[in-house]
Amino acid sequence: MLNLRVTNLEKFRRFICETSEYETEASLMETLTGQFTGNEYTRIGTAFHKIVECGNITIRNTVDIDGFIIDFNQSHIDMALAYKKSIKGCFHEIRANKVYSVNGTDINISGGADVILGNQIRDIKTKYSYLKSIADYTDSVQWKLYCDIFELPEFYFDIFEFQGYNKEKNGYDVSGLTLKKHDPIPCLVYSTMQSDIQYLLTEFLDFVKFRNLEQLFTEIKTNNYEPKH
Amino acid sequence: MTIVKKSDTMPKRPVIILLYGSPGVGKTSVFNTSVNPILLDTDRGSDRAINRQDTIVANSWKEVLQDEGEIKNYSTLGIDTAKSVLDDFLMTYVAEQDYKLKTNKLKAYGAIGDEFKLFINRRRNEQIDIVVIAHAKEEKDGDNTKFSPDVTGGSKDLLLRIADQVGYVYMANNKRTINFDPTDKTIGKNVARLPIMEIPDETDPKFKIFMAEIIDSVKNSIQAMSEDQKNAMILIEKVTGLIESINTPDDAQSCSDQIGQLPKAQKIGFRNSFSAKLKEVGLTFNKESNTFEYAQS
Repeated sequence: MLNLRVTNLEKFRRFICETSEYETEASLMETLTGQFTGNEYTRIGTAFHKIVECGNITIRNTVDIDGFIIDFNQSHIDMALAYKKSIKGCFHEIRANKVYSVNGTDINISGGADVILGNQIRDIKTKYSYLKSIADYTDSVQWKLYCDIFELPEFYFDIFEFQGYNKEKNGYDVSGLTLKKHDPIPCLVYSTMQSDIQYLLTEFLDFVKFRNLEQLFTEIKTNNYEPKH
Repeated sequence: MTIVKKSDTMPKRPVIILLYGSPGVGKTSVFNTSVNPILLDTDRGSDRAINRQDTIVANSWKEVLQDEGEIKNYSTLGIDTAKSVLDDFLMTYVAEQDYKLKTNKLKAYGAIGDEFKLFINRRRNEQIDIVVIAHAKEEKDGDNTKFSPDVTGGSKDLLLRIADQVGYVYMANNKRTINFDPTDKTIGKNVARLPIMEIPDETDPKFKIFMAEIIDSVKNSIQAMSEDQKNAMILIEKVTGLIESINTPDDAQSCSDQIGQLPKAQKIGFRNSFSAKLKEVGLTFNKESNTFEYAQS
């Protein structure tokens, strides 16, 4: 049995589909081996998620993520809290898994949904450059796997863009930036979704075997998130 | 303003359907089979269509706005084509309103989107369904060729986001066909979970109501999804209340039974709050007897 995360497969898809010049094999390997532990983009995103999940936990509009202090402004906090209000009655940070069988190999895929709101999965994405194309989101395997794993028909990307962000200039301080909430990007389960997932898993398995990476995914001990009830 | 009580079924709402395909494949003819249709022809292609219906021929967005009062007398509006309306008419229109948008394309697309959404919302208020028609263009996606609606990036995103159903019209075995599912070669959106559909021959009585039936299916599906979502939220509220009121092993059993009937995502969602409540009131689950009981102190 190979144990994978949804993130691994999405990263692999981006590499295979050459979605950007940054999606190199080295970058993929960083994700697969767990060397990538976060950067400014992911930590600002985590901090924003925390406000949505826990309410206003900021001290003077700052949030501490692993010792990195993220500086927001009041309008960012207000936007996060307004969003929190709009998803009242939801579950936050829910993990689940599903075992797929690919050419005789079982692959256990786990993933954590930011928000489950009734029959909808909602994924909060913080973004740091303008939204070039919604295909960056609608083409992803992330939403397809989440819908399949959680057995839900609807997935929405809720995108918050820190406009004009520059990593070198702004670092962890986004307090001077405008935060724009984009219209949600809806993604719906479709009839051939299962075969699309299977196809990508087959490609991934070929890659893993070609690069002799099996041990990366057999050593990781993942929980079985199947409900006990 | 209409207030729909939370216990009421949401009424069916007007829908937006995007049809795209090669020129001459029959998209406008398909639109003409909608209920009480009017076509906004901005591409001068309506005369080629079968079963031609009432048509507004416009040469600019200003002309569209001048004639839009007529649209409320119809049930379905066809916009033919998306490219001429969004990339030509509206691009010119927003630049006329603000010259700077002529050079700032990013802002221009924002303004086009705003203007188009206002137009769409006015039709929604009039309870009019909209069918947007676009030609298909080939795009390279790695080694793969993908067909997508022929509109510029920003406009395409807008359409794909606001459309409830997106279908690719093409010829298969010499038959006009629509596929609403996304594939590795086409873009799609299929709220109604419609199968790949062969468009009936124009002499077939089914052809006369072909688009009307698709629109109806989409409306029904959206209403059903909305109802399912409402019911899911009501159930979650009910189970949340049940968990809060757990005091005895019987309460815990009854609540556990309820959770057991929920869909997978909600079962997982309630696991933490259920466990926390058991702990709070001093209950545990006895795996041997398969029952809840008071914890031994």
